[in-house]
Amino acid sequence: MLSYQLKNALNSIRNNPILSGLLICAIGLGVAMSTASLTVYYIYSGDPIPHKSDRLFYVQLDNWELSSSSNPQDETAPPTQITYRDLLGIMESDIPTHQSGMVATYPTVHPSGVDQRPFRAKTRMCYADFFPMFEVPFRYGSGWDRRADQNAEPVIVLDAKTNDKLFGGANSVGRTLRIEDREFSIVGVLDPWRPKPRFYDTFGRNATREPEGIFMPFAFVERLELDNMGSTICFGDFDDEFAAFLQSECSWIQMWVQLDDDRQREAYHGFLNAYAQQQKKLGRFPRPLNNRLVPVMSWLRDQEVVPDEAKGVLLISLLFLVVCSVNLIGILLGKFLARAPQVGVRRALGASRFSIFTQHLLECELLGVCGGLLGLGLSIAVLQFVNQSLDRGGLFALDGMMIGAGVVLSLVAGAVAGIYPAWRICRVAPATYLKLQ
Amino acid sequence: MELGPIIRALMHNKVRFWLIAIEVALTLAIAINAGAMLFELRDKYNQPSGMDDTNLLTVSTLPFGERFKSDSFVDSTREEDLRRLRAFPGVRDATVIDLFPLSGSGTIYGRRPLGAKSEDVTTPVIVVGRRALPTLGVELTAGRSFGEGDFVDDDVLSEQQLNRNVLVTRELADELFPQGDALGQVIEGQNEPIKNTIVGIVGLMQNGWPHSAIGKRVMLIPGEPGDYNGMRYLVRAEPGSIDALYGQLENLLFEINPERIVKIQTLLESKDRVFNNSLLMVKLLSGIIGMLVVVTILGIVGLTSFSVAERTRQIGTRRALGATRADILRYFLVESWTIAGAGLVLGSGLAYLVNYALAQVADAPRLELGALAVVGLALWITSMLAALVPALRAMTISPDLATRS
Amino acid sequence: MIKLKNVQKIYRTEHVETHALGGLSLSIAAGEFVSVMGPSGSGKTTLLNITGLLDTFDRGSYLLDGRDVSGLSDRQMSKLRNAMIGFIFQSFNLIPDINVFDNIDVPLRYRGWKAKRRREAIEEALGLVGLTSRIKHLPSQLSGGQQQRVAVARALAGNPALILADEPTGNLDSAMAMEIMDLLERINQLGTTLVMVTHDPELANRAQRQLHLLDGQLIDMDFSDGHKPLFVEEEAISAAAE
Repeated sequence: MLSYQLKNALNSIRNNPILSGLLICAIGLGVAMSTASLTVYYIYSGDPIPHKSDRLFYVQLDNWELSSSSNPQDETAPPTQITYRDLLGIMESDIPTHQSGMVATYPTVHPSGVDQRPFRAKTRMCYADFFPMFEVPFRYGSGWDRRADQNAEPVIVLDAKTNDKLFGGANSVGRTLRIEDREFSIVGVLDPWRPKPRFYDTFGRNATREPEGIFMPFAFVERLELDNMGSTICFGDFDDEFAAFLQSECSWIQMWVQLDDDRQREAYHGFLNAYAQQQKKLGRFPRPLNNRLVPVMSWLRDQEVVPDEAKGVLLISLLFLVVCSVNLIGILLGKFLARAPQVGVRRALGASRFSIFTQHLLECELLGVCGGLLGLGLSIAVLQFVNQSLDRGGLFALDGMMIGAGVVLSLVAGAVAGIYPAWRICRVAPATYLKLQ
Repeated sequence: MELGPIIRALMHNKVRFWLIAIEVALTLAIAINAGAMLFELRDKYNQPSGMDDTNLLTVSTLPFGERFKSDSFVDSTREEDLRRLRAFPGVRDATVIDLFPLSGSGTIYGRRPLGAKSEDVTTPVIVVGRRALPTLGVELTAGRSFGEGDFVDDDVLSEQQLNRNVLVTRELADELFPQGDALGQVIEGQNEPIKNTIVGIVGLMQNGWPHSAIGKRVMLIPGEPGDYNGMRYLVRAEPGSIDALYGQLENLLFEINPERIVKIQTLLESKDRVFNNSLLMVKLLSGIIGMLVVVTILGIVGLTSFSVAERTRQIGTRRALGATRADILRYFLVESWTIAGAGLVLGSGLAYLVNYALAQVADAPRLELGALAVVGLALWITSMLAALVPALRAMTISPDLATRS
Repeated sequence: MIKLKNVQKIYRTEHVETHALGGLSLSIAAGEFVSVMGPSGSGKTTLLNITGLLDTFDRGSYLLDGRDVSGLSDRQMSKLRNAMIGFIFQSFNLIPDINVFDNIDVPLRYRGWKAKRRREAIEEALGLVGLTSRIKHLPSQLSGGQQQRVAVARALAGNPALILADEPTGNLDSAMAMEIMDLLERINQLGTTLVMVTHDPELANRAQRQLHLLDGQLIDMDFSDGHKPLFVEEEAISAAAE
């Protein structure tokens, strides 16, 4: 029965190619815009590291002064980043499974090739734990160990792109690269890695950027006197020298820890508070204790990683899809009712109301799915356009989930458009039109 | 006219009425909201920067030579760069600057009137070298520009009562001194030793965050910014020569010193990067509005065609009973006028509902009644035109249809 | 009232030319009640369409109330139809979306009468067909006979000189059919010319004169009531005899 209905539905679609084409295009446009904006929203709001996002915590310490606030939107919030002094202080803890302070810098790279000019490379300064904590995939070699952090060993990890650029994609582990005035030996090369969003550093619309091209032990911030590329928020006065900056109350470092259970979490929170109490004795941390451990998803929400624009366009796109479906109701009504005499004959020959209804709804759903496929194709183009406009490589791309969402949207659109017309046509009385024959 | 019977007939055929009315209503609600967002973004983008932005080039140099770690080498290179840049054919003027306006980055200080108990005013600052105002092309509306005496080293400054002269934009001046008497006043920052005297007021200038609420607050500080971590120059081209300079300045700077990375952008390119989210939104929203109109026209043509087809016999009967072709055309146009009108009333309410929803999830602009009226009218005319196609077909239905059975 | 002379109507499709009316001549005087009979496809409806100005003809001439209608524009034909002719259709052709009052109102609106005059005419016509109490009803709320009475009222309300009825009882049972026939006869007696197409001989007999159509030609079938057919083409008779 179903295959017979399917055949009828297909015939009907084929018999009026122009009209069917229009219907498919209308659904296609709606699905394309909706799927594309849903994908953008989904990538912004997604969980970048689903299996452990509840065990990774962003550390906030409140070292701020009493007379002002670090965050005009939320007076009670601690600064979004921590100071160098406090980083060194809390890195002493052995409670977290993994822990790493980190910051983005922009040092000069001097390639050894004759024809390659020096260039500046976005570099993440971090601790050895960065790689296991964020489960960064390696193609060659591995990260460095904690000893390398302590001894400030000149080691680096390259991402796949930088390795392609400098070494033509070859296994460069063991080779050296001059950065600023020092030779660094390469200990690892990453596989392509793109957390969506880039949760570990979200400041200033950074969440959709790619991870940095080079990873370097944090100790070299001090050794190379590297400036921070992200935001720096300070209170108080300090001298011009780099050493003075490091000792200042300027917050510019992101701190992440992995805490595997509640006990560990409480222990670490206790440690942070004890640290703050101890600093109070030294005359710092004038505010009431306000140290926070924020899990990944809450942190992304706090940081308002999803741009308002993405939400606005999503809502408007979905409404646009509704308009597309509603518009189809009229066209389908016309198409179906023109067929009323034929349906009258079918009814007289024994087709039940239900089978007429399902056949016509099936036809709408077929149109919907065709429109959905067209829409998915178009949405790839829209996403490509988004990537290009925002200079975001291939960040915004369909995945299985979004393809599924597109198909569901098209089925819903087909149903919205088709239910009423199919209901109308199935109520055609068998006799009415027979007289005309 | 026969408005009465038309409305009474519509009341008895609710589907015909509601489908088109809902369509028009949804279209109005979406178009007006998408339009409002689009125009707000465009207005933000199109706000005048106060600068001669079409002729400005941003030149960033990132040194890698070890020699640049010495202050005196940096100073001499800066001097040489500026001298050669200003002398280059097609260059009108050039200055050194710490961070570019319209670039998405910058520095913020807190400042308040000297001795005031009030909260600090968020004060974006830009450090600029000599000839900054003629390079930026901003207009000085009160007081004076920087003179040679204003460019003092911080070390020397500390002996001169820790006071540095600054220029502020009118917007910042009014924020600091709502009375309008900013000129000549001294401002200070909490816990900061350096105070500032406002010696001049700039009419308008955008800072590094032109899209933000504080986009027009600037405090210009005289200085000689730049070190191993980068030196930036703003170059004002003679009208018409910016494209040529774009390609030539890199070589000029390499001639002076090749141990650096040079990146040249027009100020407007840099502005487009800052606004890339907005510009993308503008494009997507225009696309959606365009498609929306096409789909709605198709839908109205389809629905009206259907309602004409459904009433073929009725139209034949009307013709038989003496309706002229013009009467039939008028009937359908008045009907679609009525339906679209009702849809617009419905859509106005819906528009506010969608606006409310948008305001919940995003920073949606408030709807303006004038815009609603204009879009509504345009939609009314559009829906009438869309109905015209099937109405013209209805007109050709022959009266002898009434006698066929 | 109606004077057709040698009227021809030809329907052309790509391959076939059908002579729906082949040079038909006919005269109907004012105040007459004439019935038109004939088998399906004999041209009854074509004749009705042409006399009712619903369709044009290819050759010949047609004087309606002394006025030559050939060459009239569509608009002029509409106006003339509206002013002079009332129609009663087999399937009633009431407009389903509007009530009885608005249905009868339709031709009067096109005539451009003022609201008060229209209302009086509608009420009078409804009184004549005995449906005053149903004025607010929709067609679907009425029986077939009642619907046709509304249609009669619609035809009458504008006080036309000529009423054309196309199988007016074709969709009704015999009791209702009689009611409608009585109504039509009464209207005719009040002075309105009435032309009725039917294939029921009994109904046709109630007319003062019966016309018979076959293959687009009038044939002389019955002279018993003393009327003579005005034009009888010899070819038509021989064609009928074959």
